Amino acid sequence: MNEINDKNQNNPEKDPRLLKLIGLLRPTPPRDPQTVKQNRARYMAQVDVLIGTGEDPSQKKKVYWFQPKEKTNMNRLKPRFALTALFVMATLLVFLFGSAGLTVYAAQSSLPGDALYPVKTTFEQTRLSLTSDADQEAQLHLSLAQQRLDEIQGLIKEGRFDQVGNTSAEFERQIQQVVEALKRLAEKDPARAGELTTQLMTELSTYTKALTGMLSSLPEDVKVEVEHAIAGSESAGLWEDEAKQVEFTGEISSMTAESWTISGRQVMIVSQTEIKGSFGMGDMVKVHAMVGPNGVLTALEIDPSVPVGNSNDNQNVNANSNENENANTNVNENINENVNENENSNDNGNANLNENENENENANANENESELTNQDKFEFKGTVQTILPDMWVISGITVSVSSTTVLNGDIAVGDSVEVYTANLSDGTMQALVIKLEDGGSNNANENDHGSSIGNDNQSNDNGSEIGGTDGNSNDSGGEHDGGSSNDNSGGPGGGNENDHDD
Amino acid sequence: MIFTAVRPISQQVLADLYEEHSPGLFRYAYRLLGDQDLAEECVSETFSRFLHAVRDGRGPKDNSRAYLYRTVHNWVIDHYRREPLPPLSLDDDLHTGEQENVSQSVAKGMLREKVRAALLRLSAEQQQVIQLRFLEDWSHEEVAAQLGKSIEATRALQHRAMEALRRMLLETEEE
Repeated sequence: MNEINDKNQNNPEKDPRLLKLIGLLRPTPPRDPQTVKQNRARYMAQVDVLIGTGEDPSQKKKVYWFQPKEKTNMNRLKPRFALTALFVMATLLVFLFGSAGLTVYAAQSSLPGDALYPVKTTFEQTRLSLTSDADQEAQLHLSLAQQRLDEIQGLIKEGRFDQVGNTSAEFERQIQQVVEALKRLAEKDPARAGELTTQLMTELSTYTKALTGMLSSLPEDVKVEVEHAIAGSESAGLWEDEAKQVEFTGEISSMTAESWTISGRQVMIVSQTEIKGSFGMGDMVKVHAMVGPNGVLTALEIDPSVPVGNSNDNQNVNANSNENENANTNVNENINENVNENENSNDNGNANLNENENENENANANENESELTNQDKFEFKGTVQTILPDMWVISGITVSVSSTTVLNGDIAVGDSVEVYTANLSDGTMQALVIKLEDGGSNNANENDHGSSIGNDNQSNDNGSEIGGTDGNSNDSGGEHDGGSSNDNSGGPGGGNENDHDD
Repeated sequence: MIFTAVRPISQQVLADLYEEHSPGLFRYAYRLLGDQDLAEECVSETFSRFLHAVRDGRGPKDNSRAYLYRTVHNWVIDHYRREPLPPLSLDDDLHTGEQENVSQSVAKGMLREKVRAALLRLSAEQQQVIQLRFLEDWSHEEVAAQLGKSIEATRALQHRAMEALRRMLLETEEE
């Protein structure tokens, strides 16, 4: 070894061993033809977009290798080349219009899952990367949302349901991007933003209709995803429409990725939803939601329900961590067994009692709701838009008003009010109490406190507010929570005190 | 005004450029990366950067081949900033080809990895010289044009690169 090394001491380039070693790197594996083809198509799409197909005048000047740096050079060449350049330019444009963009054009009609689909999305990405102002961006995203919608339709037509979910999510994402762009635009040019928002609203209602129309032809699991997209689409148009937002506090009784049920109301959870904390079933939360055209609620923000600071209720607050689990159990059992049986609720209560008093109250709360079945309670704040003898519209939500409705204060259209309702079996909402948001009655205030103190009290509150329907809840509830539930019994419905005495 | 000073570039030219250089760029990237998918990604990204540069008027003025190979190399350098370089000393007994328990192809594969590791430890310019001269068989003139250096300087660079490789690959056994 050393001999050879010595011999080639001054010329490693001639060392055969070294050359042989380097030669080991020479062979490379054959390329995957599919990848090569795809990458080439992507490149050609980028050529179309970046170098231009001539459709956008602002891009024409970019059809050059480089910008001239020296003016002198330019001037010197000018007279001679001007005509030639013009000619070249014209030829080039014909060429561009003629053949370029064929790949992209072919890709335009591709659907998710197709071989050319990546070309289409790359093309879109590149277009997006070229837009710099929010106005254009909003429009582009809107047109991309339309694209996705067309694709969903195409996929459904071809029975390719496996891609519908992705595409729905993509659709939703585009809508969000529109909203984001509009928000940015609104800072600079509110008038234009307003204009585009109106356009967006129109488009969205068309989209919503289109999506809803597709629902019937979908398998169940795909349906959920499309419904979610519908909610996203509905909510997007309302991003600045304060009048159509509501706020309410309630207990979570069911949770899926798409929607939660809070206070008996289904609330859509979309990607814009800000969830401030981690919640489980049985938790009390404050929901800030938007009301869609069909009364669909879409959560904007979900916060923990903040205690107001009542010292009596400290114990309850401490016990919160346990409650979640128990609440779950109770819900399940109640549903499985029989809602009407009070004994059941007590059983649950007792079992839970061993661990923690508070838990029982959750159980009760759940039962209240179960027993009320279709009379779920719902509280919200909103703006009065219409007052008719038997029907009011508050923040887009129609509630029916009867002689039993307690009207608190002199309420007129435009006022902010708090509304306590019961959902009737026919889907209408019966207003139990409507009161002006500020300066409400004492009763109402007490209820407020109750609702924000903790899970337990809230549950009883709800029961009592509904009035007359809550006898059952208190049977079991009375055993445990003592003072705190009594506090709350002053709600409009009343009637709790007796039960507690049990 | 700009018509006169710059060359319009047709899409056909860009398509041809891709056809012409994509295979070589892939080989180049693969030899440094040792991974097919990464190499494809690198080539793809290189052409994308190239097009953006052309659009922004900072594309290559005359030698687009040089530009493309440089971009590939920069991509590889960026990659190895995030990922550790492959280890140089795999098994010192292997590099002389004295296989003991290992089959010949495995031994060869390990040896190849070692050469790759050694190559990656050269300077960027040295790596280019080695690859283009010895593995892509470019002439001294072509390599010089690639590096933007004189032929003499390129030769000197090549000499130093080979010395460094010899040190890493052949002199370890003597210690």
